[in-house]
Parts: sequence; C-alpha cells; structure tokens
Amino acid sequence: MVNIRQRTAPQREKRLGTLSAWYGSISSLLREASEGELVQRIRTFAQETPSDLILGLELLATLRGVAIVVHGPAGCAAGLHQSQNPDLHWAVTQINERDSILGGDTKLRATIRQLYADHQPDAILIVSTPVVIINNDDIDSVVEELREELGIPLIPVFTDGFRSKVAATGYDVVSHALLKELLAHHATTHTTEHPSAESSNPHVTLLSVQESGTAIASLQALLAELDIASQPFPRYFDLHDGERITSARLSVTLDGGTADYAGHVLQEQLGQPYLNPPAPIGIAATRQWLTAIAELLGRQAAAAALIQQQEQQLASALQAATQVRGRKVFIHLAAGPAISLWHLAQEIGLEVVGIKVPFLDNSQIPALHDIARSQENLPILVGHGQAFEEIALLKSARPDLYISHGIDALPASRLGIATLPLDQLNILGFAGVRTLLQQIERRLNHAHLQRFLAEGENEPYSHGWLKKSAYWYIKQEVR
Amino acid sequence: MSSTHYADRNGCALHGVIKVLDAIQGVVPIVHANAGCSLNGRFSANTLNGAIGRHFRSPLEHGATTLFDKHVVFGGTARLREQIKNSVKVLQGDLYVVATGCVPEIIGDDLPAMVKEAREQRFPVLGITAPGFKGSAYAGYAASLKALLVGIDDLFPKEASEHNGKRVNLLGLVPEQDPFWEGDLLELEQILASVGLQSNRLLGQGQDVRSWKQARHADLSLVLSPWGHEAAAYLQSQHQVPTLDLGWLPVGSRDAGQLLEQLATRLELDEQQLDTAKRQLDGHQRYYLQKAATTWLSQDLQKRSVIVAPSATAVGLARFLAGTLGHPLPMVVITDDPEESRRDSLLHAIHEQSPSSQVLFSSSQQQIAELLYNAEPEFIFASHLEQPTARVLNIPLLEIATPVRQSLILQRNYAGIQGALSLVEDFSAAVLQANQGAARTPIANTGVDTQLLTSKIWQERRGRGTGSVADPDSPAALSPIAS
Repeated sequence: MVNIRQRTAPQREKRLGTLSAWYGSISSLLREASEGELVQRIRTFAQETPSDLILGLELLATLRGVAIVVHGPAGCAAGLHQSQNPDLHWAVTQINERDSILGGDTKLRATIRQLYADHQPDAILIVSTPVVIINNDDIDSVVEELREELGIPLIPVFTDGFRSKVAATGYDVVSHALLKELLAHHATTHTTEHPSAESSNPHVTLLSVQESGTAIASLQALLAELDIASQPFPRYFDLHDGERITSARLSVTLDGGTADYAGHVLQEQLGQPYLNPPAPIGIAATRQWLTAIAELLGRQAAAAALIQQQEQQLASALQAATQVRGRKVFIHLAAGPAISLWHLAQEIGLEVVGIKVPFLDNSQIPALHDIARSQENLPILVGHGQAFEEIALLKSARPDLYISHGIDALPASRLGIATLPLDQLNILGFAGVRTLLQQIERRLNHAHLQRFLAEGENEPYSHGWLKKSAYWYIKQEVR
Repeated sequence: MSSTHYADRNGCALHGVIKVLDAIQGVVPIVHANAGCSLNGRFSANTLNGAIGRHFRSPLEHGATTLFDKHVVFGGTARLREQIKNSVKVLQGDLYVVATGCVPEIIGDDLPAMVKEAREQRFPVLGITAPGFKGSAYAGYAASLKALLVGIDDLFPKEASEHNGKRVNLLGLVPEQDPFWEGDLLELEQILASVGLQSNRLLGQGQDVRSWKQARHADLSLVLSPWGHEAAAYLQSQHQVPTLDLGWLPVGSRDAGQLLEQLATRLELDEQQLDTAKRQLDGHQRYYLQKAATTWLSQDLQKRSVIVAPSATAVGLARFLAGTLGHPLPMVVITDDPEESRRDSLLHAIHEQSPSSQVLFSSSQQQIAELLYNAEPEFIFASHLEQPTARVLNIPLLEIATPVRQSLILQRNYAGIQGALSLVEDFSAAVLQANQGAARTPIANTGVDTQLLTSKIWQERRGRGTGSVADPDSPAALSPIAS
C-alpha cells in the first residue's frame, strides 16, 4: 500500500479511494459503497480549494529546529506567513520567468547554502511547487551534492499542487519525506539492537497533522496519568526525537485516520503496532481511544480507573447542560473528528442536521454505518471549500449552530447562524467535553454579530443557483 | 551580506491581480490555476482580511478552475471554458475576470480564445495573464489596472460622464499589500474634496465597474506609488486624461498642502479656496499636535527611527516623521523593488525632508535585519517580519507594512491629516506600552516580575483590607480600596 522507497507518497485518492466531491444522504453514500468502490467525481464549477502544497507547508512550519526552502515563485510560500512558530526560518527561491525556462537549480543551491550559513538549522526541508515539478528541476542532485558539503539532513518534500485532488495528500508527502530520512538514519544506527522496553515507561507516537499544540498536550497529560510517555509526529516533530519515533511501542492517530500514513509506514518497516481508534472527541470516543492504547501496553486496569473517575466528574456537567439539548448543529470538520462529534452530540442531546467533510477516505465507511443506523437521512457533503454547495444545504437544514474551523465558518455567519470556531479551543479528551459544553451554550446565546452580518443583501450566489440542488455541478469523471 | 529571499513579503503577480479584483464591487474573479493559488494570496494578507467585494466572500469562495494532473498533461483550456460558463450562472456579478497563474502559462492554455468565446455568448468577461513567476504582487497590481482599463474599453463603449465638476483618479495604492490602502484612499478623497475635487478611488467600498468606466472621463490621474503610472499613461494616451505622478503617499498637512497646490496648478482651481483648505488642514493637525505636546515632551517621544516599507509608505512616513515630528531617520529601507528609473525621485523626496537618511532597496528579511542592527535605531516602523529584530534590539516596532500581524486594519490609515494623527497615536502607544513593559521587566538579578509582585501585594491587601504598601507605584497604593 505504501512504499517508503518511492520518491514520494501516492495520491490519497489512489491509496484510500478518497472522495473529494459528493452530496447526498448518508444511506445513499453507504448504498453506493456497498456496491463496490465509491466512484470518483469532479466539479464542473469549482471554488478555490487548498492544495497539498498549502497543507504540507502548514504542517512543516510546526517542526522544530528546521529551516524551509520553498523552491518556486515567491507566491507559493505565502502560506508560511501564517506560521506561529517564532523560530522558523524560511526562504523562497523566487523562480522568475527565466528560471522557469532554464531551471532554478543554481538559485536553489545558493539559497540552501545561505540558509545554512545564516542559521545552522538541524535540517533543511526543500519544498517543491507546481512550476519546478512541471519543469522537472533536478532537486535530487542538488540535495545529494549539498548534503555532503553541509553535513546536515537535506530533506526534499515533493509537493506539487496538482497531482492529487485531495489536499491531505500533502500530509502524506510530508510524512513520507520525514520518515524516509528517519528510517535511513535508523537503519545505519540500529542494525540489531532495540532499546529495552522494560527499561523505562513505554512511549508512544501520537500521529497528528492538524491538532493544536494545546490539544496534543492535553492528551499527553492524560496518557502521562497512565505512566505512558508520548511524542507527536509529524506535527511539532523535533528532529532530535527521531529515535523516539522509531523506538516507540506503538503509534496512534488523534483524528480517526487523516494522519494514518506514518502509522502504516512504521508498522510495515519496524513492526510497530499502529492504532486508528475514533478521534478522542466526546466521552465514548475518548474512552475507546484510551482503552485501545492501554490494552496494547498492559495498562487496562489503570485506564479503566482513570476513565471511570473522569466520567464521574463529567456527569454533573452533562446533566447541567439542559440549554443545549434539542438544538440543531451542523458539523464541518475532517471525517474522523466529525464522526466523533456526531456521537458526542448524541451524548449531550444535540441534533446533527448535516455533516460536511473536506474529503472522505474509504476507510471511514465502517464508522458511517454506526451513524446511519440511527440517522439514515443525515445529509453528507464532501468538498474542501465549495461553499456554493453548502449554502443550499444550510438554508434547508437551518442549524442553530455551525461547528467548524474559523476559515470555514464565514458562509454560515453570513446566514446569521451561530458559529463555533474550534481553532483556539481544545476539544480532545475529557477536558474537551467540558470545553465543548461551555462553548456550545455560549455561542448559541451570543450570535449577535452573525445576526448583524446576515441583515442586508450580501449573498454572492445567483438566485438561479440557490434554487438548484447542491449536487448540480458534481459529475462522474469521464475517462 | 545575504541576498537570499527570506520570508518573502511581496507575493506574486497573481496575488496582486486577485487583490485588485476583490476590491472592485461586482467584479467576480475566476482564478485559472492549480488549487491553492488564490488561497495562498489571502494567507499573505493582513490577519487574513482582504477586500470583500460587494458580497462578502470567504478566502475559499473564489471561483477557480483548480487544475489537476489531467489538465497539466492535456491542457486546461476546456476546463476554463466550463468554469467560465458556469461561473456566470452561479456567481452574481457585473464583470467576470479570468486571472491565470503559472501553470496555464507553462502548459500554454489559450486564455484569449476562451475570453473571446465567452464574449461571443455576450458574457462580460476579461482575461488577465498573471503568472507568479513574472513578478511581485505590486507588478500584478500594475498589470491588472492596465488590463482592466483596456478590457473595459473593449467591452463597454465610452458613455457620457456621470459627473459635474472636476474629478481625479487615484492610482497606485495596492490593496492588502499596502495594509492601509482603503482608509488612505478615503482620506485622500476628503482632502481633495476640500478644494472641490471629486475622487475616483476605483478600489474599495462603493467602487464598482461604473467607477472604472468613468475613469476615462477624469480630469487628472494622481499616481501615489511607482505602481500606478502604467495605468495613468494608458488613460493619458487613450483618453487624454493628464497625469500628476507624485509617486508616494502624502502624510501630514505639509505634504497634503503641497499636493493641493500641485492639483490647483494643474486643474486651475480657485486660489482662495486652496488657501482656505490648506489653512484648515494645517490648523487641524496643529491643534492635535499641540494636544500631544505635553506627553510628547514629558515621555520624550522623539525617537531615532528606521522605516522599512514599500515606496509609497516609506517616502510618505519619512517626510512626515523627519519633516514634521523631527525624528532622526538614519535609514529608510524600500521593500517593493521599484524600477531603477523611479528610484532617484524616491530618494529625492526623502532627502528633501531628511537629507542624512541612508536610503536602501531590499526585501530580504535577513538583509534588512543586518541593516537594522547597524543603524542602532530606538524605534522601527516596519512589517511583522522585523519583529524578531526589534525584540533582539529590545525596542518597540509599529507594524505599518505587509505582513501585519498585530492588528486588524479596517479603515485605519496613515495618509493625510487624519492618518498622520493616527500614526502619532499608534507610534505613541507602542512607545508607551514598551515603557510600561520596561518598568515591568524583572528586577535586576532577582528574577522577580514586578507586575506579579504588585498583583500579589494587591491580593494580600484586599484580603487584609489594611496595612501599608512599600511600593508607591503598586495598584494597591493608588487604589481607593486601600484606604
């Protein structure tokens, strides 16, 4: 499925049958899935969507001790301005028209050398962009040449902006690039010996591509109560921690599968168990997540006690959340978190009136069956961006609350719907349940700005379009 | 010295074009590029907020062809045809503008043919070729202005002027790349109104395709940066609209007054009205700077300052800070890489008010950091990219250039008189906050945070409700609760 010797990761749609365009009820989706693999679709009208390059850069910008060279025109690197990592040094080769014809390897070589001379990072990541991939710039030989000269890892990250319809392929490309380096290093330093598992507390790898530092820290704290140490990968990865990744007892996703790539590779290459439990959002999902890890490490009893204690503490908060009960929510998150959040909604008495996911891996289908059993008509929209399709759904579903990342919440705000942006919050683990309860109540009662924004005519879409069905421009691809 | 392009601040041509299109109401951009190109442009903008068009759109709501591997191999022209046809059906607009990025340029997509085809269907469609490798967002701005004016000439016959009185096109301020563009244009409109002139801002709230059609009828084009002259030259040659090429942004009443004088000469305005307007502008600024004077002197707000900004802002600020406030300006760094032929006039404009300033051209974060260390400033006017340097130098910085990360800019501005006063307010706030911060830094060698200390005292004090406090500056000592 995954071959680490390949130059880069395969497209997610090839690896996991990932859908990037779909609309209908959950039961119709499952019906199609039961008849064989889900059919890929395209849009004949589309709105802007992120690329593997954008998501890859966002992820790379969280690494510690590295510098980044974006090899391409200046604009390709702009996403790095969003980075909150104060220690990040990055440069762009600023490919111009001449370079786009004659090749930009001279600029690439000079930029890498300069970055090293100025900052002596632990490693330099060289990120490719559409122009240099189409022109077939020889990044490999520049890397080969300078690696020896500089004596630090130079890691090419082959993003390209067009190969995959699923931006999350960028996460796989980053994981692939880092693991290739780690495993090569591992092969030269650990030929036979394995660190003794008995010598210290077991440590595990938390596979993460999207979670915030605080969210990860809260799960690390939870695991620490079971004397389990942990480190994130690839998000917030520190190159000095390479050995901790290769010697970990297991790897586990935090998002129900988006970060699966490294888990598969570590399992295949090193025999490390890989776990993909539900994303730990809500009581039941957190219980399942923690139990799955504890079982593999022989910590069941301690985990059961911790879970019981945490659930007892939450019981009163759940009972007090009467205001929330019966309210309608729309969930717009990656599939793993969205599915867990649907279950949490059942736990606290919210009615989910629609789910939008940016993409849908085939591996999520089993988890959707659980939802369909109690809500077979739940509308599911698959699309990264593509608000034009969502508007019609929101207008008919009329949710009281829209739960998403902030950047995705604007169309709902425009309709006057209360929004809960999750960017600055930790919703993982037991602590996350309490946060969500408080926040849902607060957002429902304070949607004043959204209501103000909704007054007056401001819809960018034509009346003709708003009368059409949301799947109008979603077509099966003609090959 | 390093010339590597650390943390590029000037974006690419496609970004510049999209920023312009977003700032015209009723214009619908159709981005013809691979996925991510227009979103990336928004990421470089200030705290994610750009122009929003007539109908406010999220960064992900641009119509886009999002070209994938199949298109890269077989060409994206058919995909563009499909997207144009459907854009007209889905998105409300008066004018649809295709902006093409790097990939269609490399694979040779035929943009003119697609635009022609759409026009034959009577769709109001224009095309702008803007591959990112052809230049910065500033270059993209210049190219899009020209392309819009040419395209509008093609699409719409020249109708009668809708306005009486004299009217001036304002050209050169780049949406988002100049973070205060919208407020600056509004302020200039006010200043021009003081001598009875109407402004055609062309970009921002209330500016639409009609404003662009009317640009042909203006009495003058006023150019406010090195990036507006191409459009002005076109209007001059095609529609006999004369140009006043200032090349930078007037900040403060002196430069606003000088601008009015130049406009009065060119447009033969009433001299008495000009004198009255100049006096009022000057009086307004004087009143508020007098109001500032006590604080200015008691806190000693004269700072040895350095400016790092694109041409228009750098020159405008330098002239006001040196010429009116009397800040020593050892160095001005111009970041937008203007053409060689325009650099002398920028230098001249700075040296007129600040003869000893060293003026340099660079956009590299690393190079600028090195320059700043050597200039030994007490205050930095720059972008967020200079914050690490300011921290190392332990001096305050006011973010006045893209990227801005520490404030949300709506219509705040630094041009004209209101702008100059805002600049004084924001500059003072940065210094006063830094002074407060300095008073709060750990007491030498003890590692004790004085802020923490006073708040502890405060809590103890409230708990006890009595007793004396040694620190006379602590909130407890000043609070009536303590009595």
